[in-house]
Amino acid sequence: MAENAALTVSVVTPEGSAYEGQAHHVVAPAFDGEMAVYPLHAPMVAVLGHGELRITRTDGAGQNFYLSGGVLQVAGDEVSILAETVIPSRDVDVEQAHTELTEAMGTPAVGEVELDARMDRLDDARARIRVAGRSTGRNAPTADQILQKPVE
Amino acid sequence: MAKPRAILKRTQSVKNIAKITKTMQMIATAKFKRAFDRAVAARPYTDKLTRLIGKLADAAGSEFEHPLLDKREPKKVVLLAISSNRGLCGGFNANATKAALQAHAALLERGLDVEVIACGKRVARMLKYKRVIADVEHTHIEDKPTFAEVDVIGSELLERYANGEVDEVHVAYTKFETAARQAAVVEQVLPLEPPQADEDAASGVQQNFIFHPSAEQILADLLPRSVRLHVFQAFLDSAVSEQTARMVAMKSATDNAVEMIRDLTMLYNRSRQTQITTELSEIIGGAAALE
Repeated sequence: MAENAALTVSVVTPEGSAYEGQAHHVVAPAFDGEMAVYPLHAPMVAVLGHGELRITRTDGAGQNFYLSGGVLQVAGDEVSILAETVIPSRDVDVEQAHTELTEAMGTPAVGEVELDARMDRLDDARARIRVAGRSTGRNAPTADQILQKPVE
Repeated sequence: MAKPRAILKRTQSVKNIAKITKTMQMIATAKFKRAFDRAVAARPYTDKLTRLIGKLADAAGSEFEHPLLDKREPKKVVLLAISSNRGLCGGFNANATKAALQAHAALLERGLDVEVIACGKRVARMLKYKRVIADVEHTHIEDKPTFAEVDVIGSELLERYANGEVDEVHVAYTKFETAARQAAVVEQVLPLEPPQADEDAASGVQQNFIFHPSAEQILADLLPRSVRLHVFQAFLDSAVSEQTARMVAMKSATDNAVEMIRDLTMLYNRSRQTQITTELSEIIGGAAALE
């Protein structure tokens, strides 16, 4: 069974389905780091963060998406991913992400709620840049961009 | 009897109107299909989210608490009225406005401070006519609402609810039930009704899910999403209903025009014949007088 076991993956957004099909395995950006799901995974529900969803199809070809926030559910060999923003990795707009990053950096934030919101924007922008860099091999973020923390 | 020439002119203008309404009907049909597909495309997401929330509610237990579920003493409420930017779609806008007005009156009766957000030029104008001035007007959302566009409104409402600025949110829109049935409804978006535990999860097929981080936290993440989805769904439904309403309105307008053309043509033929008869009898009369 393990040989030809496959996952049934569906990625759905409020505007429609982004991916529907069989997969060998899936790597998803959980809120605290990436996690991989292979067939025979235990049933699970996880909150997702900003990052890249990598689906490796049964024929070995990959399909990558950028997604921000959402939830992943594994039940049996079915993987359902619910997310509001799903963009194919190669369509991620790096320039826009850079602009957003600079903008978020420049916005003063006071109090826990605002700081959280800004951290979220920063994470989102950084993840976009990272994903775009990986998909094209260009525009890879520099260590500075990843490490730079907002001024408190 | 009217002059044949005047009738002919009228027939021509009715024909032109029929051409326009026929075209509008066809456009509405095409747009309806697209809007319908979009509304259907959102369904898997809605279903999965609802089922997941049910499952999580079951796991989190009945003591689960979340700010979005709190029923606080309402002071300020928001009424979101959704209709379209364009007219010529039968009773669509009028019905949506009527539902919004009724909700508005009911909320005022409860002694609440009501803020009206109007989405669509038509509903804003009609509310103004009834002396209900919308505090905010959104007219940029066209017949293809995207999640990002609508989410701006939904997120803002959520934020204001979280700040305690707003205590209740209601939405008045046209719900798309079937192609033949749409109804103007008013629904409460916030605070949420406590999620019902999923029946399937409780009975038999209970699996031991790993919750990462925990059922409560996942539920807390999902509840705002379901609120935003509710608002988005309202916009999608409204868009589909608008096109259906326009299709029906333009169909009957075309039918009426065709019938009118038939009547006018008959009237024209008759009056032409009468005129010829009159002229003939005049000539014959004239000739007879000469003899």
